[in-house]
Amino acid sequence: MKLVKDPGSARSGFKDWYLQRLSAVVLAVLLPLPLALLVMVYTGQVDQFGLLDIIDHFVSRLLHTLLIIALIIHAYMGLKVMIEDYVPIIGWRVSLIGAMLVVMSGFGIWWLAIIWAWGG
Amino acid sequence: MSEGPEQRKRPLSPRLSIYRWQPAMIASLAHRASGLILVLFVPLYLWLLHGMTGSPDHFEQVQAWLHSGLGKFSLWLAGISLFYHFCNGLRFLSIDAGWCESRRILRLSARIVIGAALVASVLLAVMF
Amino acid sequence: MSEMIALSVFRYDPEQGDKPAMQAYKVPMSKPGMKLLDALNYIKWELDGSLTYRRSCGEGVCGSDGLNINGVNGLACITPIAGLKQPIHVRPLPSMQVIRDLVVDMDHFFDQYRQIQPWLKTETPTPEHERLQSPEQRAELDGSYECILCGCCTTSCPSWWWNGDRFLGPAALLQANRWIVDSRDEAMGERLDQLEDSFRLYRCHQIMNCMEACPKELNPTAAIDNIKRKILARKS
Ligand code: HEM
Repeated sequence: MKLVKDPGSARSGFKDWYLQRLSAVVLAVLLPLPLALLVMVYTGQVDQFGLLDIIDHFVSRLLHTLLIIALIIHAYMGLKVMIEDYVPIIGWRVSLIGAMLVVMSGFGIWWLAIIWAWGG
Repeated sequence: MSEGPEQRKRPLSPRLSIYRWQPAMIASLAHRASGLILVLFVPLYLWLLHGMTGSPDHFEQVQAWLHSGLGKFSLWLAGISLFYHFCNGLRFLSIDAGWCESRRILRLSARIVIGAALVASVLLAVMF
Repeated sequence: MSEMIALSVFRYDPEQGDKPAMQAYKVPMSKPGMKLLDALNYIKWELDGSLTYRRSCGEGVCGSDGLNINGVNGLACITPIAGLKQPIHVRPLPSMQVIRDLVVDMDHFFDQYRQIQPWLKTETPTPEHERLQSPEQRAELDGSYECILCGCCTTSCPSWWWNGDRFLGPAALLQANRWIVDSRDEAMGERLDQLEDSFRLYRCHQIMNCMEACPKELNPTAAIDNIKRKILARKS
């Protein structure tokens, strides 16, 4: 069964792979921080004032912003790969990836809004 | 092989249903599953963060939810997913970098990350 | 009475047009170190001449008797009966179009091999004698040249099951890497161009079924990662 109509190489694909690894490294470094915070809130070691002090600190806002960018990129690339794997129909594939991008950007903006306390 | 027009459709030999699961295959699929769970946890986390940075009443509500059965389960699930995804993610990154690429180490490291995640899931369940 | 081996073998007859089914056989353990291929031969020669499978050299060199054996791919001719749980489930290589019984259509598999252009490409003038390699350069080909293209790895790969029309699969990629690391080949850039594709190359998710299946104990996962690193190196 010769694939006479083989479209050839797209000469791309490296970027997705690379961005996913790069963002993974950033996540591996930064993600433990908010997790530890969540655990401390859960166990009561940090009350609301303590939490707000930490979250509103400038450095923490900066790190959090980096984290959000890395996480959105990482999750987007990750889900994109999964959709490409399991959704063979090109129309569905493109629509789903597009929809996912919109939803994720929405969450990203919401998250940034919380961290930088826009409008609040 | 000539492809005559009258060629009957050939059946596809069985694949996923018959293939034996080996540690490295489980490790890869678990990475995918944990990644998906983590993505789903993001909106929940945002909702929690929203509550925790809101009014004191709101903060108390979040605290109460976190200590409810569903809250605890969510934290546990996200916790082990993150733990596993983190460990296996570092494993994948090291493989990409060309370290630990021998057949023996690839097999062993798959067993290690799965084992560590199982231990962590039990520990996490009894600790909280 | 000699010890009997229980087998359950995948059968499909295109003339009957029925659904494929598993058929049970019992075969005597005829000699120490008996291989699975010996049992299949016994079935064909003594019990049921209609059983169809490919085999040639019978010693793991030609790569024609790749099968799914108790859920893992391997070569029947070098798989000892002794280590196998019974009944031994023998099926064709997974995710392939079955022509008859254990014989599958390998055309697409070899087409993908052709796609990586498995021949030496050079630009420099042909030297008077051969293109020489140092022992170290030759050693770079260890772990690649042993591949016999049996298809055990490629048909074990879930990524290839779902996207085998585009993903080249572990065997073709291991072979692609074989030419990339060959000191005599002068077309690495062109080869990388042809491979850099989110489907052709980047569908590999380190599932490593290929490595587990390879009867030559090669490591296609590492070969694929080496290609990715070569692309990384020229992009950054
Ligand atoms: C903690 C640090 C993290 C590291 C080191 C890490 C590492 C990785 C790596 C290396 C991959 C690529 C796997 C592959 O292509 O086969 C990956 C995939 C993925 N990650 Fe992460 N990750 C991390 C955190 C996260 C988080 C927080 C999320 C969710 C928001 C996430 C979601 C995903 C998803 C959905 C995939 C795709 C899975 C697949 O293709 O099978 N990861 N991760």
